[in-house]
Amino acid sequence: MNFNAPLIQKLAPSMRRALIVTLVATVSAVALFSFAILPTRTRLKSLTLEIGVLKDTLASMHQDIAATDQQKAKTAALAAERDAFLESGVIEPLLGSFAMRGKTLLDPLAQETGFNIETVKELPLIQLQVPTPAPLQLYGRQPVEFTGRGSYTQITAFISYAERSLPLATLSSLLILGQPQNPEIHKAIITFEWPAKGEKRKLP
Amino acid sequence: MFILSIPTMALILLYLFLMKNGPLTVKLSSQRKPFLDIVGLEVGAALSEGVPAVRLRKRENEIELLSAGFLKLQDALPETEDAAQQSHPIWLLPSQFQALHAALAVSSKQSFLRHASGSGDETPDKRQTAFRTVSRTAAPDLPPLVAGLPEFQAAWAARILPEGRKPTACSLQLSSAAALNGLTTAPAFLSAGGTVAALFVFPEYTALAAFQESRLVLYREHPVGYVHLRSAVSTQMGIDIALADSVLDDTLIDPTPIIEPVLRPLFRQVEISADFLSRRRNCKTTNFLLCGLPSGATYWSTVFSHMLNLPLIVCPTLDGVKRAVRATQKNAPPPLSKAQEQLLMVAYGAARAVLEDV
Amino acid sequence: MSKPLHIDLLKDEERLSASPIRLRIMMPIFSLLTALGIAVWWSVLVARAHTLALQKAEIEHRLADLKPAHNALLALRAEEQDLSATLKQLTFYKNARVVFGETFTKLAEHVPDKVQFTEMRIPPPPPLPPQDPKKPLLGPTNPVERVTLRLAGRTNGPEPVNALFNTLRTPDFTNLIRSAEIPKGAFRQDSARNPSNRETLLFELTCECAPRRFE
Repeated sequence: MNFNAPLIQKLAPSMRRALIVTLVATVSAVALFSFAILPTRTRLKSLTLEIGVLKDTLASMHQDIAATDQQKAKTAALAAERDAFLESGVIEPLLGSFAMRGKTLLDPLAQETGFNIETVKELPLIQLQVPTPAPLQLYGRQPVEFTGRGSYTQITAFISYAERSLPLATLSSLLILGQPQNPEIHKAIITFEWPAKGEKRKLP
Repeated sequence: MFILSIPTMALILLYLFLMKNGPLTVKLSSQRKPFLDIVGLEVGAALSEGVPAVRLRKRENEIELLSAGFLKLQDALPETEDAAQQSHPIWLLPSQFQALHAALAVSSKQSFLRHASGSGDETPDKRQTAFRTVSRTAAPDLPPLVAGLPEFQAAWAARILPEGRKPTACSLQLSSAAALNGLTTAPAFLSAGGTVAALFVFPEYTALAAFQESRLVLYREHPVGYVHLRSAVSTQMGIDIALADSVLDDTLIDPTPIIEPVLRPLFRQVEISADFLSRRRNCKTTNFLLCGLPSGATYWSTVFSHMLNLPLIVCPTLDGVKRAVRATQKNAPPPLSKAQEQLLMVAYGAARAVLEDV
Repeated sequence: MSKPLHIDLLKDEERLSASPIRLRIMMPIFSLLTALGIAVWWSVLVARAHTLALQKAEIEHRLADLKPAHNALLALRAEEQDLSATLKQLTFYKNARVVFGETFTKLAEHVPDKVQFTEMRIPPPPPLPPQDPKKPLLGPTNPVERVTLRLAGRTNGPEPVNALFNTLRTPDFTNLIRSAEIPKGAFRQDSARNPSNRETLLFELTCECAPRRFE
């Protein structure tokens, strides 16, 4: 078929008009579809997806907020439990010294059992196992070394008494040496450890 | 995908349409499917009865009349281009005449139908008005017949039937050429052998067509029509036109002295033409037929016989045409008188020409 | 006439169709309707997009309103998690506590007469391995800490030590002392104290105690 000008000119004016109108309308339709319909449909799809996500978020937020009182109670209970634990034996330095704290705690017990504490020394904090996830405030094992003298009975009584009175005090190391000069009185280096605050982590 | 198929469809339709209207058009038109249902309409007849309309159907190679009558339509043919541009009538036909196609026959004073002389003679008023002309060869040894109609009148007539409604125009003929085609089934024509000369009487002129072995061998026009006779009777007897028609149809008063002077020049031409045929083509014309005369046929025959000593046989327009049953149905137009049937000569001939042009 | 004299003056372009469905009419109508349909469709889509945008803005506004309360809740949850972790770590310590006092007290009652302890030692916890400064760990990776008890003393023969050895394997002591062994060469004469007294023997007992499990 020959699309040259003479063929078009053979058409009646009314037919030429009809063809022009058809062509313009078709091109407009195609342009409208390509540049208006398709982008708008894409936008609609993305809006629908976004709204779906936002609605889910809103619903979960509502749900969460509805459980705020429960969460408050739960958190408060845990805080109380932690506080109770801390009060049960987690030590804090006295005047900046764990040795002072330890001496304060064990001096009365030593006096009762007859063990004679001569020196108290704070040893370096030992890292404690960390759970996952790790808490912000880490705790460690704070050893305090007590050097003293007493009979075996006095020493063991002191250790027993300390272990009974201080639920979180743990015998970390022990050295009882017999004294040749005095077989009854031994030198004892007793190290107790307590849980104590360690490093405070920064929020990730 | 649906949206993209629309321009594709549009392109396919465009292709098909352009193929239809492109270089193959001529070939297609020559292979056009034959018409089977045609309504013939005479444009510009300016008859008081209305626009002559005849609907014919071709069934099993036989033509039958479906409907015939006169329609109240505006058919004043514009005489000038300006008048044609200002006048845009639209013809809406009643249902019994709504064939798929229409054959229009234009009765125009500015049209012409004649044998081409071959010497390149100009059409009348060609210098001032554009003409639409078509020539047709009736016989190889005869000069072709040329028909001409002012272009503005042809274009005006072609627009008269609107697109998208039945019927639309499939043929545009001159009334004089159309009338010729109505003769073929007339019993008088069929029974006449040898050379037949037929007088086709129009309002303003009479056409003489001579047929040899059923081929048109001569065509002449003479400017005497039935209006002239009617006018002569009306003027000389001091009566109106309707009464003049009655006089011409009646035998109570003999208008022969009045009409004979009017007819003599016409019949003289007939005599000359018959003589011309006898000498030039060696065919003696003995059968003369009269077509299309609404009133006064008896007196025409009388005068003719008196002058040429030969009978002039009246040939009713719809004589010999099979009437379809449909013509008697409820919506059929009222029955026509013999005089009215004669006025349908052009419309009938126009429809006939299309149906038989295979 | 054998063939009609059909002199037709009608031009091809004047041959019109009687069908109301014409290409010249239907083509533009169809394409205009299509364009119009697409325009209407687009306007519907735009209206819907506008509605969705408004809906999105409204939801975002409501989210913003709920944000403080939600943040407070999240803070509570974070605090709960932190408290749980703290308690867990402290519980590690608590679960790893080993009590010695009772065992030491019973030991005094079961030591044979012929045995005199010269030393009782529980070594301090081993130091942690050096850490990679680039990837410092928050705590030890091994939750189990070995605890040993070393008993050294004097005796006049192996029988008291064996008796002591067997005593340490009784239920009174097995809670703390999981195993005991006399290392090779642990028995030797006490030549340092009284070279003429060849009956005094020095001995050592190494006891594997219940490990400290920081779990």
